[in-house]
Amino acid sequence: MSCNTLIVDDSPVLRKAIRKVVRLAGVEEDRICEAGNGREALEALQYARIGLVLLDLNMPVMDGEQFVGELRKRSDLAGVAVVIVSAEANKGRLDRLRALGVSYCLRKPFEPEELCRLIATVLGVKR
Amino acid sequence: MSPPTPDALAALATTALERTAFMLSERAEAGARGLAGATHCAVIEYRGPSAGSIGVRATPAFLRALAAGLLGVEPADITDDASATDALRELCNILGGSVVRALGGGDSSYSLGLPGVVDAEDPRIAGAEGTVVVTLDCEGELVQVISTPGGSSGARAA
Repeated sequence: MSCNTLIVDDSPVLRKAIRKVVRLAGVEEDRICEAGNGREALEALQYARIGLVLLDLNMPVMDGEQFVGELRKRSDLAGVAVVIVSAEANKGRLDRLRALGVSYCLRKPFEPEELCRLIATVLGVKR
Repeated sequence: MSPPTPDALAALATTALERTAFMLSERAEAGARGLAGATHCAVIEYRGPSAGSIGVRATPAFLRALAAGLLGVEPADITDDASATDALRELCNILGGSVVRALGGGDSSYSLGLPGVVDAEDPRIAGAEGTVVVTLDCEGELVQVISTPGGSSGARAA
């Protein structure tokens, strides 16, 4: 799949695990990049043309909700799809993210196949 | 909101281990082989209609197996403490999310903090009034999950 994917999670182990799933979903290794928090993710978006962001919410420095808020201020990044991959369960927070255009949410714990299917769905919609 | 029962806590932990790391586990008695080697601990706090924390206490061998399960490699391939500790924090994070969903249901107004590494003497690990402790045997290694009502500070979000 010809879509650059950015994995944003403060856990290096989980980023590695998600990276494997993204590869299983058909995204080439050199099209996957990582960030440890929202601030790093915004920096990554300056240097790479990203189509899909797999985003944790509870992170230090800049959390996932703050990241989406900043992302939506950028008209040049309006086409970036965001999938929440988080243990978050707070309805108010998830509603605010939906209002910002985040349509997909996968709650931890998840099975790799669930994430693989979701990535395929989102990238299929984007095509 | 009532804190999770031991059965509910054990079920949530079993599911989390199976879904994220393909690790099978079952309830065990803490005294059977003891948890003397379970020196690695992490805690995550939650707030909302009620507050509390979820702690995990585990052995280094369990954490290597957990990290290996998350990454789809052999435990012997996990040679750095950082990956094992990171896996512990992530398990704590996942369990915290599972507990608040169980407490709040689909309209949860609970929020989670960040998981942090703590000492085994931390009151959220060592036990306090109302604490629920569940011990699991996870493929030969013991791991404890501790639910403590009320909030406190001190976790290091390393």
